[in-house]
Amino acid sequence: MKKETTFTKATIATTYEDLQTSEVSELWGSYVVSEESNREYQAVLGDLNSWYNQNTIAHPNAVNDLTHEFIQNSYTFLLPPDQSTMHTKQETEYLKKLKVGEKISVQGRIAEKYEKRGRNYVVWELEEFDPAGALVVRVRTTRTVGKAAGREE
Amino acid sequence: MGVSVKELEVGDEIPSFTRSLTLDQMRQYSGWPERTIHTDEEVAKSKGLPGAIAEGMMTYGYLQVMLVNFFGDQWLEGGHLSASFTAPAMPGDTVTAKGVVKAKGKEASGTRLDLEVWCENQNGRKLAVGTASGKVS
Repeated sequence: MKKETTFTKATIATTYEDLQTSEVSELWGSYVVSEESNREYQAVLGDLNSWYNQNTIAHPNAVNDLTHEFIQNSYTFLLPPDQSTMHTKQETEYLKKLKVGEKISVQGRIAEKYEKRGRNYVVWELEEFDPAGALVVRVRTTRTVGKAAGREE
Repeated sequence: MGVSVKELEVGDEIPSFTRSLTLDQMRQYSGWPERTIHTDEEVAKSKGLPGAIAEGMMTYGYLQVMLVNFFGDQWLEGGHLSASFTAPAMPGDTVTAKGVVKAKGKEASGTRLDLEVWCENQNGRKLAVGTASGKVS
């Protein structure tokens, strides 16, 4: 899947214990949904809606997936080989249609970290802005850190 | 949208969306030839998984396709989807996204529906569960 993202936030290698929550978001970078990636997301999901390309509207999964890249690119968790991180929850609020070819800026922060039933969870909150500075998407994404592979919620 | 919002009441289901998941689709989505638990059977098994598993975002994507099919492009201005990933989808699964109306209310600019949504596989196992909210003028 072709992805066009520009990361300005440096990747940090960290443990769950060393992660710090923040009240303030920082600029993480930007992304652009191209016509090609729009078609690819539609095809791989089996989405037959023609109006994405007719109206040059960015596919919501292109938006979500490219946003998810920021989490995956910005944090490398120091874990034993038999452990991993798992994406457990995703929340998205769409405020305005995004256009294909539009540069979307992403700001983010770690909003929460907590333990529940013996597992460590991290919650990121991201806000995305169009070139005019309008807030277009809000995302809240949760991952376990150090979850044993193969275990389920 | 084949079903009118006006016709739907609390407890009614919206039209579902079904997809047969393949390893090729997973590889296309997750960046093959990069070998990860989402693209490679052996890497997944080395991590204790039964086999390669689809990214949660693919399951989330099926929910979004269902919701856009139903709400139209208005989903992208005022829609909200929250989903927890409860079990992984795997190659060979038939995944169906479903939704049930939980609340319906008039707003100044249209009708808002609040839904309970989920994805399940061919065995009825829930892969993702959550809520969605959208508005139709």
